[in-house]
Amino acid sequence: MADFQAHLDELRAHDVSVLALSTDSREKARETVEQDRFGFPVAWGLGIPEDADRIGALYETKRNIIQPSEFLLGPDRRVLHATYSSGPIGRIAADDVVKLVGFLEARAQARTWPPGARLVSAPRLHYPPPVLHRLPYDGAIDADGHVLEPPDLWDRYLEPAYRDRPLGVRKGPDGLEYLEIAGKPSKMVRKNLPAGLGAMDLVGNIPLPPRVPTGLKYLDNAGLGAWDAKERLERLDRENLAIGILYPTLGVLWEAECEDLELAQAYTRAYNRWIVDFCRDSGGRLVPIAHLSLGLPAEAERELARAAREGVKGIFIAPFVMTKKPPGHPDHDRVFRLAEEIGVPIGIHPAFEPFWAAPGRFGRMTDASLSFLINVTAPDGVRHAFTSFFQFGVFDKFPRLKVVVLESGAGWIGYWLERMDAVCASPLGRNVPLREKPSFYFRRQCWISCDPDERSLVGVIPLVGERRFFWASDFPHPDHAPEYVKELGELVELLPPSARWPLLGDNVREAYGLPPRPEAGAGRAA
Amino acid sequence: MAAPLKPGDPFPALEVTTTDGRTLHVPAELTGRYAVILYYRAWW
Repeated sequence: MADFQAHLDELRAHDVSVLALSTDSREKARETVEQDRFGFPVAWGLGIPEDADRIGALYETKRNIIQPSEFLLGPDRRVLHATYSSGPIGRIAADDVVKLVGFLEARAQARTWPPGARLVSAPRLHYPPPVLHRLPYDGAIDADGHVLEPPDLWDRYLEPAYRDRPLGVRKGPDGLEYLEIAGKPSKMVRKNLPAGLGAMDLVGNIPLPPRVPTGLKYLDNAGLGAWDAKERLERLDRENLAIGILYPTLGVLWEAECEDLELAQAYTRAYNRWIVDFCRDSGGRLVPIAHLSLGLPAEAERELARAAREGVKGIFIAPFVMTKKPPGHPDHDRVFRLAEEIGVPIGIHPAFEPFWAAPGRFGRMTDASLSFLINVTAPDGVRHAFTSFFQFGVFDKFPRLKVVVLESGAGWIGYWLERMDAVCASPLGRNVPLREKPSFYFRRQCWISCDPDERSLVGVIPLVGERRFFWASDFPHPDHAPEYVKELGELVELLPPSARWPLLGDNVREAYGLPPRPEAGAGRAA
Repeated sequence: MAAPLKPGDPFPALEVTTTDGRTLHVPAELTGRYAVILYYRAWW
């Protein structure tokens, strides 16, 4: 048992749990646990002969002991390995378990990877061995994860009047997958790009769950929980996360190419109905967020009211509006007013943007050869949209409105608030209809989501305020690393103790009105 | 003595109590993709 305690972190990293049991009384078993500080459960009170016979173990009635018997069980809970001893000598070794599980996972991965795996044969130098990490804190919340919408979502959920202009992932005669928007192939989403949209785990060498292939790499390349609600709950369990706040995948791509404002409303309504269904049986652990398109504000307001009645806990908007109005523009006040009234936060989430919205200083920045530059600078659009809320005085008009900045990093917010405060106080800020400095409003009614690998937050969070930050995985999108749980654990260790639980999930609970974190068994003290 | 378990055998169901007072159904409630179960010699 001491050997397994010594290897416990390594075993957990390979998603191996440990349970010890014996015929001891409760007092003796507790003494054993306390003496050796075992971090795994220990059960007591087994009976002889029934509990020994159940597993075919040797036992002694005189001393009331079951001889050492040790088992490794697989995912189907069948025996992979069994060791029986007739006395104190002869044990299964923890190191051997780690090696065997590593081998089995690698073999399963080789068997289940689809032929398209080469698609994402990105450099793997930055990625450690294939594991799903487990957070050593209970009750944490992923503030921005994604789902892969079913390829036929809009075929099923779109109102009949719009079904002649479908949206979804299709496979062309050349065998390559593409995104169809309003019945036409997307001009921005490159052919074959859908095959990589859920490939975070594949890129990170994390084994995919064994599934019957769908024939679409869009789904087949996706990691555990990317498009199946039960799998997503399994992923949360394996990572020891309590709740996932869910955003779409195709939903952050299509709006840039949908110039028909009515159709855009219909697309959002269809998604919003589907995501509520997707999350329905999760016991509140999968939280649906609605997509709103501000191009027709009255329609968006109506959809917000409808979706909130159906159970969405928040909404998100793209950083642009097809009308070219800044998101914070007074044209959208009716949406902000309703969001404030019903207490639903508005998130600003990066999205593909129309050609006219993308920066033009380097020409059209849509070339795949610029993917690094485009991705690193993608938060610019969110910063523009967010800043427009200050420019138009949204926060004084709607003092209880909650605004969330998503998937744009968070380390910059310290600089940004100081710069907004400075400009606001200068002659250039005379046209900003706010009574207080921008940083006042941020600390009152805004939140920002960080990537777990942002070490600059160790300085920024105490400066800006511990109650303003979320963390997010971006799973299953491959532009973020699959090491997010490990990195999160490392980040919170670097933070002051008072900042840890707010970042792990308490801030999300407050913003979205989610149930408070259970206190009992709340993991390691933070 | 009953027959020992072999690779491929389903692990038999049992209900146990852990030192923190929880009731655990084995193997259904074991966490982890893989699980190690250690029967150890009690104090004697």
